[in-house]
Amino acid sequence: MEASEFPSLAQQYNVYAVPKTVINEVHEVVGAVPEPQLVRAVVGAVTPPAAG
Amino acid sequence: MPLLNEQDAAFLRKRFAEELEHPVRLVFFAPSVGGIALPGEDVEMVEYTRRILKDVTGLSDRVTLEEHSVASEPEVAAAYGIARTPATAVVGAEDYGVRFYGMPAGYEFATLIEVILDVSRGRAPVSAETAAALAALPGDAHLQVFVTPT
Repeated sequence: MEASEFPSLAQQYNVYAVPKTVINEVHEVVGAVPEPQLVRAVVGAVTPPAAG
Repeated sequence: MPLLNEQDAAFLRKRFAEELEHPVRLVFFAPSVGGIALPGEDVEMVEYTRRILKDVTGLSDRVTLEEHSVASEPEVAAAYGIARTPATAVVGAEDYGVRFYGMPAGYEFATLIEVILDVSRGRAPVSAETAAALAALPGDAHLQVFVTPT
């Protein structure tokens, strides 16, 4: 997603620095993070919080 | 006139020849195809994107370009989940859901090339741990990666 070409979308997701990854609309990862860190963010975004 | 210089084109032709596995379709969505520009349409950006994609498909018979108009073919856009333009769906043996929104210029040109190769292989160059973690996901993950060409 080219941030500069879609300014309204970049604004909607508060993109002030790139790369920025938005997972399932609400979870955010800013920067070119190492692969394990991105995977943790994806798993965290998809996995429902444990009950209790 | 091609946007790629001959040296870069030769390098990419060789990579495609050696590394492409399945054929890849670049399914390009413009606001309109030919004729009159729509209000708010950035004609230059769309045209430049089309030229980049044409150059890329000229590098291998196994990478092809399809062009669609969101205005006149809304059903095709909907089938690919395209909500804004210019958009390029990169589709291999399957549609893995890879979409490129905007112009693949500058640094992002390299991203486009790597995405084409990954889609062609049907797998991304990730570690075994990553592959296992993603295979075990309990639901779908939609990743939007915001970038700039510089």
